[in-house]
Amino acid sequence: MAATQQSWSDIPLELAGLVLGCLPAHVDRVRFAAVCPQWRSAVLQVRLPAPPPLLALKRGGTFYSMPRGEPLHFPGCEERFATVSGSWLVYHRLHCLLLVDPFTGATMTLPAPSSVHLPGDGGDSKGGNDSANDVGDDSEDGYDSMDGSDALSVAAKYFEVIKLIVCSPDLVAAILWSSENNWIAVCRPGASLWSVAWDQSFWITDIAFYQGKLYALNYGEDLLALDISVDDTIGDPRVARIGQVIKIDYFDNPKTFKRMLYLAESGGSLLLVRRTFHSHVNGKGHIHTFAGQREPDVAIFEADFGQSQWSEVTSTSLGDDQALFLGPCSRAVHMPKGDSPGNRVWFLDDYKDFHVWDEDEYEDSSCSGTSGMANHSKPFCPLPMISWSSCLGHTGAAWLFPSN
Amino acid sequence: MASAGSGDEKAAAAAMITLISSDNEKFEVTEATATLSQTIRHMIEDGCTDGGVPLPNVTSKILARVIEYCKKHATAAAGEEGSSSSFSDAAFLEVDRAFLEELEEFDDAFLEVDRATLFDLILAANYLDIKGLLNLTCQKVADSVKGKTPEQIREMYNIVNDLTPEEEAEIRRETQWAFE
Repeated sequence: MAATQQSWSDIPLELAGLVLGCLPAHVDRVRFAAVCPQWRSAVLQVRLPAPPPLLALKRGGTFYSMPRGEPLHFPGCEERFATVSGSWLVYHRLHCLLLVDPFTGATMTLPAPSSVHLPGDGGDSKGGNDSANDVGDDSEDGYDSMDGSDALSVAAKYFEVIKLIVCSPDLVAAILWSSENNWIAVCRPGASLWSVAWDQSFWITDIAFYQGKLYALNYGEDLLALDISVDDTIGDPRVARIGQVIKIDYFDNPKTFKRMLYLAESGGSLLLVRRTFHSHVNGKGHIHTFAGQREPDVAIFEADFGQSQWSEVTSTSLGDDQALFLGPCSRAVHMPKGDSPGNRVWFLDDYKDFHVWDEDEYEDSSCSGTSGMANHSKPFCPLPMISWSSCLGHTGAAWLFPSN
Repeated sequence: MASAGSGDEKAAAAAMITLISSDNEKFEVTEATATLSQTIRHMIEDGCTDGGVPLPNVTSKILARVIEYCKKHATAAAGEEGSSSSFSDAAFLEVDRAFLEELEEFDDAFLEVDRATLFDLILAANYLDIKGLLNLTCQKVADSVKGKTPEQIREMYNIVNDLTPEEEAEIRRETQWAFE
């Protein structure tokens, strides 16, 4: 009869681990850990898969815990943010980008996207940062600058951060948007300038840090590998070389720009996910989930580095319990069965490349984008009560991934 | 027990095992029911079930519930096997789904117990190594704490908050967002 006298606080560690395994949401784990010292110790000791992300609306204020959509608020994170990088919210400040981890309160400072160091340029593009002119950069011969000077002057006017990856304590990579094109830039946290990889020929749509190396994907579905070199004197990184790993050159296809392309790592592989749109790009943004590769609108490929090609992923090779969360920041996350049956790929209507799409064709659906989507009936919207507005070239929402 | 079946099943059903609870109550169950427990399965394989299987960690009250679970799930498993050969694919799927629905209903009703019993069921499922029951009960606990504050969870599970005020303040400071 001894067993009936036991208290729930004395639940054996192993069994607490099993219960925690059924609690995917980060917020539920955090609250579990605050119940009593024994449960707290269980959370600290048990190895758990990374939790699913929070849906972060760029207008700020409210964050939604997946998969149930519980609204959460972080003190000090009420204002509009530019993008998300893992667990970092990225805010524009007057002279810098401020990164805030809302879960821990940690912060990091990066150069403002307007503080760019262009090849052949004397310093930062706006001259807004005094230290920029001290940077020794007279011998920029490592870049293949195509019709350089023209593009430079246009691009230098305005840069916006589209995507950002904190690769290591010394390297941050970003996609900056300017002059209707995306550019890859790298910097060191705390530095004063971004170094932009300048080559017009690359229509970059996504980047990923995979197995210690930076990769980029263009609209042609070519995979590019970026070699980073570090300046000996000041320690700032720059893109020394861009090499083609997989060449597809999909540009001839008229449907090229009716797609959204994502790079993401899953189960040790580098994946390309292609979502094709048949209608609607306007209207409100939602989450849409697809049951993986069985959907005609979604195709998933794995980078085959040996054969220099994309191999289509079969239904079995994307892990049974893996869900891909795709948006400005994409990751594969373990999802227990039952929380989201059959839905393996979660997209945000993030419109990250909106500016290159042909809007006119879809003008009629601009006020009924949601219902148009519903009629199409393919994607499933798990949290229909949450939507957000997006404007041209701006992403309306992002996935925020808590550090485990 | 399987209500209908082939001669083989009847033969299997005839093999009975005696389980003895901590308060010395004896339960006669079929081998098919008993072997849902990996612990008992190994005992049977080792031939150490003559004279009954003593389960000193499980009370008669809990053992009765565990056996109820095992009987239902053993029957369902046998029913599925029996039906697979005699139905077309479509009919089989239909039967299969009916079984699953019935099992789900059973599981839901089975879990309608107080928190103390739920705790004992988890311990028993762990000790007897009954994977299905362990998953079911742990999922039940997890579902019950989803979206709840630590205070609500303590109340629900009758847990005394013995965190020191300092610890509690630290938790609040570090994860204030989770308690808004």
